[in-house]
Amino acid sequence: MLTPGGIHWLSLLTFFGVAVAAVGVGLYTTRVVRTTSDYFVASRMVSPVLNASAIAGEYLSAASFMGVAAMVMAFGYDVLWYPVGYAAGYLFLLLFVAAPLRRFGAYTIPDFAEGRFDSPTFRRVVVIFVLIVGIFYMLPQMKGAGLTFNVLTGAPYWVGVVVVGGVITLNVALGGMKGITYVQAFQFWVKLFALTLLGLGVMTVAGWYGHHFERVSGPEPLRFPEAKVVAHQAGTVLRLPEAARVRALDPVAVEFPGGELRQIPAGTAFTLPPGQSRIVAGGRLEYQAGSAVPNAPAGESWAKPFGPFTSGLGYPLIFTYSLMIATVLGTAGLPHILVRFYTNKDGEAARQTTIIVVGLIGLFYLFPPLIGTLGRSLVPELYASGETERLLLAVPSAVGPEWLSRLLEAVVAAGAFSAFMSTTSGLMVAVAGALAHDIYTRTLRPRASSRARRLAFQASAILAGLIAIVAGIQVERFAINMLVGWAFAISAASFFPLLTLGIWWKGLTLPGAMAGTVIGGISASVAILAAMWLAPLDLGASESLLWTLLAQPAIWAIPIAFGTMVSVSRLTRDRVPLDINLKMLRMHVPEQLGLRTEYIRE
Amino acid sequence: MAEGAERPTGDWQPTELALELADTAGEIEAYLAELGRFWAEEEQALIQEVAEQTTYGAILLEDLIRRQLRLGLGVAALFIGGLFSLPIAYLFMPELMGLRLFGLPLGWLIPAAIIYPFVWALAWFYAHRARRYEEEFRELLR
Repeated sequence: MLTPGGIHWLSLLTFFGVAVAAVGVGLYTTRVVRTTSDYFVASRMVSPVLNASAIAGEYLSAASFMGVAAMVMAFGYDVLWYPVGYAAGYLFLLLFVAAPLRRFGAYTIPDFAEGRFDSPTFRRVVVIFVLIVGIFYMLPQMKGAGLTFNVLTGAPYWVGVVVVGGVITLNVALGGMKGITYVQAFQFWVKLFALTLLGLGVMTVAGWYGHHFERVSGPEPLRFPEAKVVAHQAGTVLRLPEAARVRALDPVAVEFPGGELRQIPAGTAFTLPPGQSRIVAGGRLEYQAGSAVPNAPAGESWAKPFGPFTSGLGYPLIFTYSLMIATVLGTAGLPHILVRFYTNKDGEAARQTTIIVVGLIGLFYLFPPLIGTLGRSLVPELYASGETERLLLAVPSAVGPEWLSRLLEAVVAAGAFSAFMSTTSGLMVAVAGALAHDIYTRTLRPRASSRARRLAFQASAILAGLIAIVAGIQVERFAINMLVGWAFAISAASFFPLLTLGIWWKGLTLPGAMAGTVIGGISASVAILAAMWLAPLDLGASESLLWTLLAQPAIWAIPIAFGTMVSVSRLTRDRVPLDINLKMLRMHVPEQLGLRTEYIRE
Repeated sequence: MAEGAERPTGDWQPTELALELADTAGEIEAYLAELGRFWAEEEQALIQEVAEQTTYGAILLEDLIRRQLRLGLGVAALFIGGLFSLPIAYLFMPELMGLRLFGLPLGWLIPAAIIYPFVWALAWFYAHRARRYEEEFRELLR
């Protein structure tokens, strides 16, 4: 029994099962959500294990759940730096941010900005960056939700966006931070379980990690182990390292490497020569067992650093280092993650939480490289059809028996839904928190009652949900994964310098902090936007240092932000806050001495 | 309710247990109030010391911050050094990176698996040390 999207009904059932369970957990917890502080910070009494599961659940988005494995399959070794950077970001959060930020009593980064420099203006500047990061991070999640929903049910793209967006908005508006804490923690374990079962299940049937790695990383071109049918769209380019024997199942037209165009009737066997061919009229081709896989990177470049992913712009070492810096320091400054730290009881609990997060995320990331390797070995036809993005949904069908494939598919569907939902919920709390807390309570209505603040949070959640849904519907045809890269670059080049210097250096002044935050954030944004918009224009010199630095700006934008902060602060030495020692005391002295006031009160 | 405060009179007669509980509650309340005053004084004294910059407390705080920062930078340098040397390790030590463990080359296994327990160990080491520095700071203030 298949759905219109060609997926077994069991997957659909688990997909909705997880959605219903999430709403159920959310609704159940709303019964214990009573106070305003429950809404914003889950009353600061979330235990480290629960909080760490929730942070990991929130952080591991669809990009981590499905995207990293797919990119490992498509590009190989260089993609491993992403999960490494994502996990190590929490180490840097622990080293420089977690405990002092919690002790300072700041709920959001804008809180920190105002509290550390006594400047409401600075809060407004920072809140704009927070909203940009939150909304741009949300769009790829909405797109992923729409596409997966479409694959599973055959419903139009916008239906998935509306359903997923609506469910999440409901959960956030009803349960606030406390409500989604339990949902996100639950969803982390769904995701980990899904990847574990997929990895171990496939290996049980098809053989050990090392066996597959050995097969796909050698000097020989990657070849189909058995005959495979691939449906090619018109316009697809096929790059082959050696001749491939194929048979047309539909009538197709192919432009061969020399430029010769041939009409090929259905049922004809022919040879695709090495080089670049192009499908002019699409149809199904059957690749014979042992023929080379088109568009698959060579084994050597796939299995070692400086492969196709980092060397495209000509400076692979700079590209690699810059990407590492951006993922590590970007993670340490992400506003929607930092908000969660305020739900810890105290600074020490914030540290414990971070250690557990590092463990949970490390455990999770053992699987994407494994699944990427298995995909290269078991479903190479995805290279030919250009659909490596579908890896997670395709791997289960590659292993028998039938019931196991269906079970694994269903588990993947549950994990995928959890991934969109937990990340989007977290972003929505951060965006709604910024609107309700930073703009409404702190700027417009400082004397608002508890009830009014709670209503403001709910209204902001609904507003954020509407923005996510409306914008999410628009972006179906955009390649928007760059937006997450943009969010990381802003985070790394503006929030991270602001937090670390603000926490550790007494000499940082308001003008210095503001100049560095703005210059760092804007220069990283401009670089990435330039790379995004200019790349399709194909200006000729695609291999250049300038392109590399535009596409991966962290390596220069972060030093510029730090440099600006330090030099401007030095020039405005007289602007150091008078009570700076008291502020340092609050951030660095353990709570047991009793020197603490909370930003959010009952 | 402190000793000697008025107790409800009339038809209702408090039992012995209720009276005892009320007394105990009063004692606890008084103790808490005193403790609160003590804390407030101590806090005030400390804040004053620190605010004056030259005193013992301020020096201690500066020292704590410096030690924590040095610890954090040390751990960060260790990690970044290791991470940055990984992509170029293939150029300098191809044999070592090609070494097989569980059927996988070491060069793949490090970023795909081994690095995670390493990061976790660094995190644990840092938190352990940072807490010890804070305990030492509190001991010195006492």
